[in-house]
This record gives sequence, C-alpha cells and structure tokens, in this order.
Amino acid sequence: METFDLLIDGFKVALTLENFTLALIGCILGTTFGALPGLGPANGVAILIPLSFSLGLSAAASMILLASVYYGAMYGGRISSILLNIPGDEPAMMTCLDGYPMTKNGRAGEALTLTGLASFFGAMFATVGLVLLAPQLVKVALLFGPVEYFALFVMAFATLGGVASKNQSKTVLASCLGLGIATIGVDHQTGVPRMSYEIIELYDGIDFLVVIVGLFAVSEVFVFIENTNLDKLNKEKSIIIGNIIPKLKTVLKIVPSLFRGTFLGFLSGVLPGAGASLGSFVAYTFEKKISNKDDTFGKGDERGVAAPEAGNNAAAGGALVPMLALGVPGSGTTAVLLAMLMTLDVTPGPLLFKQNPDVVWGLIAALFIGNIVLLILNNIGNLLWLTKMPHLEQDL
Amino acid sequence: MNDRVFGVFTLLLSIFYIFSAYIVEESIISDHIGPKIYPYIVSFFLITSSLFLIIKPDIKPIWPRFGKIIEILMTALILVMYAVFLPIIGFVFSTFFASSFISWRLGAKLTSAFTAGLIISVTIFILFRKVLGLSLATGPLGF
Repeated sequence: METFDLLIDGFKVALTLENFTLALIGCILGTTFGALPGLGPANGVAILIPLSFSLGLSAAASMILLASVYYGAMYGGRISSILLNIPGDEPAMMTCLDGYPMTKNGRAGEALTLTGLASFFGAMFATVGLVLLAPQLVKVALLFGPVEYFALFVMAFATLGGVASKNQSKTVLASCLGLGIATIGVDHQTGVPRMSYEIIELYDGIDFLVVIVGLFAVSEVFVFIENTNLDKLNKEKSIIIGNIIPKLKTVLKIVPSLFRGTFLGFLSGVLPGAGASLGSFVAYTFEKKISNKDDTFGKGDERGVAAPEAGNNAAAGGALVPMLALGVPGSGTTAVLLAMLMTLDVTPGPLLFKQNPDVVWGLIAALFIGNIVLLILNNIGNLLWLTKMPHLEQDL
Repeated sequence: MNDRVFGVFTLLLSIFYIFSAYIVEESIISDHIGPKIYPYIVSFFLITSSLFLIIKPDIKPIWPRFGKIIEILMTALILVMYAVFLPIIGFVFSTFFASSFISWRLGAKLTSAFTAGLIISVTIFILFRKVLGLSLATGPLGF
C-alpha cells in the first residue's frame, strides 16, 4: 500500500494548477507533433526543452510537460498514418499497413476512433505497469554496487544488439561511437583531459543533450527530405470519413488484440534501446500471425490497427520503467528525457525514488491524467473536427 | 560494398581514436583502468565490429536518387553554416536563412518558405529573448 500512498502524493503534485495546465498543453502539442510527419516524439520533446528552461520550471513540472508531449505524440502519429498513409512518426509506421486500407474502404472515422481507444488502453496499462514494476525494480537496484551496474550496462548493450538491427555488428559499432563521444573532455575521475587536442571548448566534453538532439532531429530531417516525393505519389484526393462511432461488435472484436498488443508493447518498451517502434512492430507481426485466418490483414482489418497502436503506446510507458528506475533509457525519446533530467541536476536511477519522489510520482500521476485528456482530445475531438474534414481535402 | 566502405571508414576512425588515447597523459594517481585504458577497450570493440562489417556486409541498400543525395548534402551544409554564422550575423538572420531553405527543401513554395523563415526567426527571437529572457546570439545590429 506504500506505492498507493506515494501515488496519491503524486496526484497532489500533478493536480496543482501549474502542472495540470502544463500536462494539458503537453498533450495538445504532443498530438500535433505526432501527427505532423517529420516531427516525432524525440523532436517534439527536444523542441520544448529550451522553453522549460526559460520558464524556470521545476524538475517535476518540466518532466510533466515533456512526458505529456511524449505520450501525446504516440497518440498523434496514427492520424496521418490512417488518413494519408504517411506515418506521423516512426512508431506509427505499422498503423499505415491496415489503417490506410481502412480509409480507402471508407472507414477512416472508425479507424481513428478504434486506434484512439487502443492508444488509451495501451498507455493506461503501461502506466499501471510502471507503477507496479518500477518500485520493485528500484528495491533491487538499491542493492547494486559498481559490479552490478557494470553487469547491468553490459546487459543493456547486449539486448541492444539483439533488437535494434538485423546486423548486430552495426549496433555494436554505433554503441562504441557513442562511448567514444562520451570520452571526449576532462575525465571525471582523474581530471585528465582526453581527446580534446587543447581545444578549450572540448574540455567540457560534448553534452549528451546536444548529441542526442542532433542525431535524432537531423537524421529525421534527412529521412524526410529523402522521402518527400514518394509521399506525393501516395496522396489520393478524396478521403471518406464514414462512420465515426464503430459498432459494438467491432469494438469487441479488437479487445483480444488490445491485450496482446499491450503486453508485447510493454515488454519491448522495458528492454533498453528498443522503444515504441519495436513495440508496434512486434504487436503487428504477432497479431497478423494469429488473427490473419481469412487473409484480411493489409486490406483494412480493425485488429491490424488496434494491435500496433496499443503496442506503441504501451511501449512508450514501458520505456519509462528502466529510465526512471535504473537510469537506462529504453528508447530515443526517453534518452532525451534522461538528458533533460541530468541537465536539471536530478540523477535518474534508484535514488531518484528516494530523493525526488515528487518528480517520479508527480510524473506518473500526470501520465494518468494526460491519458484521460488524450482520450477525450482524440476521440471526442474526432467527432468535432472530422465532420469538417471534407473541406480540407485540397490542402491535404 | 557500401557497408565495406563504411567499415573501412570506421576502422580508420578507430585508429585515430587509439592514437588520441595514446597521447593522453595520465596523472600519477591513476588506477589500472584509468583514462587511457578505457578508450582502448572501446576501440577494441570498435575495431572488431568494423572488421565484421568488412567481412560480412549487409545486402546493398537502396540509395536515394542523385538529386536527393545532393539535396541532403546541401541541407547538412546549411546546418553547419548555421552553426558557424550564428555568432557572427546573429540569431534572426541566420535562422531566417536556414529555416527558409529547409522549409523550401521540405516541399514548400518559395514565397511561403520565406514567409515561414521570417515568422519562425522573428517570433522565436521575440518570444525567447524579450519575453522569456533567454540569451540568443546577437549580430552587429543587435538581433
């Protein structure tokens, strides 16, 4: 019951006017960032970092703002996947496979509502998972000494090799480049300057935040430039929204997919380095394997949009578990969040739960609130703006 | 072949890295695994993975058209120039040029790209500098 009390305290932090407003703004901005192709969760979070500095937000408040953006982007990514066949961000890639065919079949409205529900389901369960799992993990992690930490990071790098790429040597290579960049500057233990070549600017090392934002944001711009013309080919003139409220039968049909997607998504989120993209990928492939009996997948099957959306939202929550409890980021965006915490002089890891309970539990409570806000925003919002959609066709 | 070239490149990079670690002057009080040994360990894995990539490359990736490659290189160049010119000509001018160019390349028409550049640079400057009091680079004209 100790966890429950802490969670109640968290709600006290999250429900102050300032933090609640920040969560609301974060959710709206996040959905927008997610829906805009080329602006993913990592970029969205990165864009708001200077803002939270200049507003002089506390660690808890800035984490609430940034994590709401993170959750919001997971919801928003599906919108352009379904309507335009352009994934709004990388994790929404799998939603295109059945989402766009549904639009072609005149069921765009249903697809959006169902994925909205799936997103909520995945994210809610993952947040509950975070509440249950993170404190237990912390209890173990508090017993960790240098040896155990070394083993933990070896394991983190090893799982990275297993999930991040088909070619493991590339993953090892990328990890080593990262470790290499980290060695630049004055060594913390001994005060010896390394790799700095007498250049004063390099004595400070290269800031983690700069590396991570640079690599993610710039590569996303490049990928977008590479694909711009392809997207034009994919555009089709008219979008028929169709029914917005799905039949109860359809909703019941996707329930098992939601459970499967959420479970797999959460697991892959907890693994270091994998993140939401893997979550939606695993959820979709697994769902296709067991549900595709009459070969309806890829042609607009509801289960084919529900599973990956539940998966990527669950993975987003799952990725926060190792980040908060161990200080090991589970995905690109959590790496940005981690960098932000470190810049605010808050050390992530097991001690975070002891030293800054307001940050951890305020954040978790804000995620619960954000989820409900996002459900309303994405589903009731659908009803409001989708009816106006046909007028926007030419602009799309 | 692409992976092989990349593997050779990272191999050369790791040799440079080892050299950089070699010239690190250790202080007297260092442990066995001090500031010098750690980069050696990292470069061991860097070399092994580079060699793996050379021996067993992935199948040839699909390259974008030549025009696209030029475009990506131009964008990279613009971003580098942005970093170089930011302290010299100030935030508003450099952001205006960089964001106009990038919005143009991302598919906007020339006029709307310039408008976007203007709005982005001026609004961010006013918002961050004047309203929020964050320090942004200023040029000779004071903005």
